[in-house]
Amino acid sequence: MIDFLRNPLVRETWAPERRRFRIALAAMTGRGIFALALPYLVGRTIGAIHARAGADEVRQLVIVLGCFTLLTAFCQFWMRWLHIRSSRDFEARLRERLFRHLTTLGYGYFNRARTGDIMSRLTADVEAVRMGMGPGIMHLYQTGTMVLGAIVIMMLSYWQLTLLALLPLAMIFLFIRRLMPVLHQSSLAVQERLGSLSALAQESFSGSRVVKAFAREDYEIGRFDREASRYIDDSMSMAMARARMHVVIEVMAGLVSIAVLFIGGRAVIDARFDLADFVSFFGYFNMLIWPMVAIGWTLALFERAKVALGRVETLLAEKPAIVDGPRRNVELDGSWSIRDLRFSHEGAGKPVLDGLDIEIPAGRSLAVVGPTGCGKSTLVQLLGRLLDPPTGSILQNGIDVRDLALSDLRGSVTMVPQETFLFSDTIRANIAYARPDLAQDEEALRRVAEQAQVLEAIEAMPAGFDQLVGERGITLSGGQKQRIAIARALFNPAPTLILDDCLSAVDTQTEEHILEHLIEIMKGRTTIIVAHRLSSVLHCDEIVVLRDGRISERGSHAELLRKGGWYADTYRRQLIEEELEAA
Amino acid sequence: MSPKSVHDDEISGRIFDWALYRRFLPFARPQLGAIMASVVLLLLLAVTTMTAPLVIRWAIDNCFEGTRPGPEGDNLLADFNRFLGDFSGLAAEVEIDAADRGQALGMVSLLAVALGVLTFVFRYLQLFIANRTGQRIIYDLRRHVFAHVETRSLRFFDTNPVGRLVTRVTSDIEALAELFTSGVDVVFYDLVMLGLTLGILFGINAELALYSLALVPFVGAWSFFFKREAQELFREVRSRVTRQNSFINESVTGMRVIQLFRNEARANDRFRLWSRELRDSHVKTVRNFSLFYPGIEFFSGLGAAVVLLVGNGLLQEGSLSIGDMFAFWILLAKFFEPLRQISEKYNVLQSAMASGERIVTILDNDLRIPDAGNPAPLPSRDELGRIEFDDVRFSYDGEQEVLKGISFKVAPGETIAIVGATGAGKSSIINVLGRFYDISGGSVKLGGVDIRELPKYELRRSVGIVLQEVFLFADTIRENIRLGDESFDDERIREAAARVYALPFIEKLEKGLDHPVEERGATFSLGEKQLLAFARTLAHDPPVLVLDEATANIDTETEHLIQRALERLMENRTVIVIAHRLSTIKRADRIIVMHHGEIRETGTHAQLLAADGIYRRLYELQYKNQEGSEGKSKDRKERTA
Repeated sequence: MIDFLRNPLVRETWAPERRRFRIALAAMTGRGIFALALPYLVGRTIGAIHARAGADEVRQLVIVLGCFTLLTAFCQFWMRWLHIRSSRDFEARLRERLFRHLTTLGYGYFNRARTGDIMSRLTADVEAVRMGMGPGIMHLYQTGTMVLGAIVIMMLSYWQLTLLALLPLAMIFLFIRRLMPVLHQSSLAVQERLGSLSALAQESFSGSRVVKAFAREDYEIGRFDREASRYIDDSMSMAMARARMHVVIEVMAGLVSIAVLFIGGRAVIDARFDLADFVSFFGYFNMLIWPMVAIGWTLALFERAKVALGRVETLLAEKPAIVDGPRRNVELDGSWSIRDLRFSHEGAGKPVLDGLDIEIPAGRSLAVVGPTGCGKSTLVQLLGRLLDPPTGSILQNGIDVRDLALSDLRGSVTMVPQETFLFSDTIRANIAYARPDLAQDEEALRRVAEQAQVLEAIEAMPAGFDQLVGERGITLSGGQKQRIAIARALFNPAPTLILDDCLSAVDTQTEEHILEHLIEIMKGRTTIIVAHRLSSVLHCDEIVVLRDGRISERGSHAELLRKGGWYADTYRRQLIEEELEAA
Repeated sequence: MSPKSVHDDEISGRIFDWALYRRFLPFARPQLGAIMASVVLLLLLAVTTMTAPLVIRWAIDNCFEGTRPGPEGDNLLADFNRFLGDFSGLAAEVEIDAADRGQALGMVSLLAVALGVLTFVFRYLQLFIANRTGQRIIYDLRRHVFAHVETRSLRFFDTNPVGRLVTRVTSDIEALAELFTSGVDVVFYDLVMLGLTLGILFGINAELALYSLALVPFVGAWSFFFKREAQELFREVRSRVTRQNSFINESVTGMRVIQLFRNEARANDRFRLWSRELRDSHVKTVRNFSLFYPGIEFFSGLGAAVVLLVGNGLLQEGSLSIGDMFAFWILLAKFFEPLRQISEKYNVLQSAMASGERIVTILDNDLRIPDAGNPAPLPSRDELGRIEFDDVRFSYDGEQEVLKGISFKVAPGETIAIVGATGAGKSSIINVLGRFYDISGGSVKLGGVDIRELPKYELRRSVGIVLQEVFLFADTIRENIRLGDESFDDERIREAAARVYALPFIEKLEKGLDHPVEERGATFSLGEKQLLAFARTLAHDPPVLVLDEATANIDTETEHLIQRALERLMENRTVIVIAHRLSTIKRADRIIVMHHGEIRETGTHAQLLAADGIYRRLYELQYKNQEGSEGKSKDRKERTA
């Protein structure tokens, strides 16, 4: 627990709460002290009533009692309000820090890590750490002071009986300490069972075609049935473990109360113990029972928080793979040199790109074509430094891209990536993604939407440019998404435009319209087109054909047709395809 | 976020929706005995729990004080006091000295221990029965919902995302389960406890009871106010959590776009906004509870003060004893507890009801392919191969027709190849023939009987379908081949696998037929998956085979195996194949060329090539380059055939 609180990340994130925490600590202490006064006052009052002390004295005592109750409640309010609120602030700060860190991590990390794992770092784990810092500390400190205070007071009043009462309570505490991890484990096991149950349902529902094709519905139901019944068995044993815990605590506490009643009562009868003291003693004893349980629970909370913190730290220790270069604020105009570029993916032996040499003067266009897996997309990712090229192999304006500030480099490039990804936001926000400050520029929006052939579709939507898309909005077709992604790239006036196979989900006719605009768009900026359909690359200044990471053919469209290689063959086949489509 | 889009996870349940209760009642009915037992145990538990303060009350008055006899009367409480007096032997004594009182205290302590043990037994039994009952009900319910979903038609699966369906059979059932495991019976117990406490308080002293209960309306109002607030906040927190988490999820998936467009700072700003708003909702909740709990504690403290103050007056009058006061003190604490419990249960019950509503929505869905009411007998194996499509019209969405009047006939034992460009309607033929979807016009007949009149499952067992994308279950190889049909012994499975050349690679696996297949068969190559699918179909030995050939690239060696396996698979069957391989097409007795949902050409390979129509173009596009690699051996085969 101590090393959890000493952890630098925890301390640093908690730092802004320190002042508030001091007050919260005072409130917790106050609550402990005032609460400790209550059994004493009740005892005194009962004693006064018993001694027939008269209404006035009783009234005075009751008023004092009422004041202390009020003070207790007052402190309780402040401790919760300050401390738990602090823990929520702490949680938000920690989570924002994790998110900020995520945005600096490279593509490699996101390829490696599973989205679900990242999610649980930022949600469940952060929450577990908060539980430690918030309710964990609060309950531990507050119940701790109360327990210690109560024990001291009880010892002073009747030490033999105190020791007798404490023994079983200590046993309860140890019992809880031992049982908590077991319970936690068994609840994890149940979670896992639920996980496999839902995996099974997931599989069965996704495979419903096969299930139906073989008329195997009953078999699937049987499979689910068995898993569901295993799950039930596991949850049952967890529920019973929990039940045992509660029942044991309750009964132990009950039996000890009887023992206290009996022994204390004998002492009262023998006049060795005052009735008022007995009542107070009994009150203190009752005060102890639940804190014993709560401390066991709290310690388990810290253990969980520690584990979660470890996972959070692992994520924070993840270094951004792609780092800023030293040269800032360089004016980049889109002239590229690719020199003997060789690249292989992490862990893969065979190079994806094997010695490319390409020059692209500013404002010119380059097309990269070739069969699937030839390295086209890798090349594009290297240009924007989504992957890191070897030193000296990719230069813009004669400067190694590794020496450029990332924001300068990426600011000089606007790209339509292969996998279309739109945010669950309005179409306006998606298109103006690069320049949110211009999101209200209707004219610019309409222009790029027109160029991407998506204006008509947008205007047909209920809310036009303000239509929400994605999870909470309307579902777009693959082609619509792709065209919005094109519009998004065009909205950004960067000197280099990269189109990574971005017309795959668009039908031929729309493609043609987009291509018509393309010539206009390409004017005045460097354009790099990766394409499957060769019709999109006809007008490019240079076309290179990649095969197995090397350039197998290069030249203009006419030159390549004359050569009669892969390019000419593929072009011919695509012509027939178009013909067929029209038939 | 759009306020208009209603998400089904935002349904807020109504606690008193009797129609909903009635829907789930049948699942509780088989457990009626257990439920009754649980109720009886709860009643017993309430009684034993309530006896403890009464024993203490008696002990204080009679043993500590020696003020015996307590107030006489003829109610149950007085009877109980008399019983305690007799039991401890105190009642018989005339002169009561300290020793007698000590002994009597011992006796009632023993009685209290016995009561404690009894409580222990009742409590444990009750928890056991309640948990088991609850779990059984959930189990039945879960199974029922799963079976319901499983038997819906493909149209249902087309319109309901798998994720949502999975939620219904997992977390929604879990939430509903709360109703049975910790909802209804706990509320019942709390109500009984409330009633009993009230009865005893009034039994001891009506005046004091009235005074101390004067606080109840305040507590009630206080709880009501905060609970209502808490409920609102709970909803707000939940929707903000969802928003924040989907933002994280989206950002992680789209991080590349964020970084490409240099939007890291803005994503961070946006995240901070969502994170802060969520925190604000949390903070409001914290404030709510920070006020609520101390308030409740203050009220119970106030209750105790009232008892002491008013009790003192009554005590001086002699109508109340110290023991009575003690009992009041303990019981009042017990009185506030269930009050708090009940209101805390409110949220649980509410989300249970919301889940219940969502489950009912699924249960009410009757999208399924109706089985023939009075099914025609299944034609003989040979007859089944006589397939007739007569002016078949079909559409997935009811708007765009994908089959626009398809008519063709297949004779038993014939092999028909269907070719066409993407979107020509080829796979819809499979969907229609296996009755995964019902057609909107015309008829499909097997052996002269309309498939809608044949028993559905028998029909599907007669029509073996091999799809392009092979779906493997996360189970053993054996189960993936026999698909749960226990009548298949290993010999039959091996034989089927051997015939389609799948056995060699199966036997290379560490555990052979017992080898566990990973989710979706991730560890197998495409070719191996194809062979497994062939083995699966061959083992089931359907008279009609419908095959959608895989287009994906498979290494040459496996490709060769697959072609030979296909030949074996097609032997002695009527085959409709959506062909992508030239060899398969050439082997077909007839080729049907589909284009834009219509049959445009029919004939043999040679005839169609000569006709110089769509087929010829398709051939040039897709099949011609296969001539070189496979042509020779296949031509030889054709000549010999």
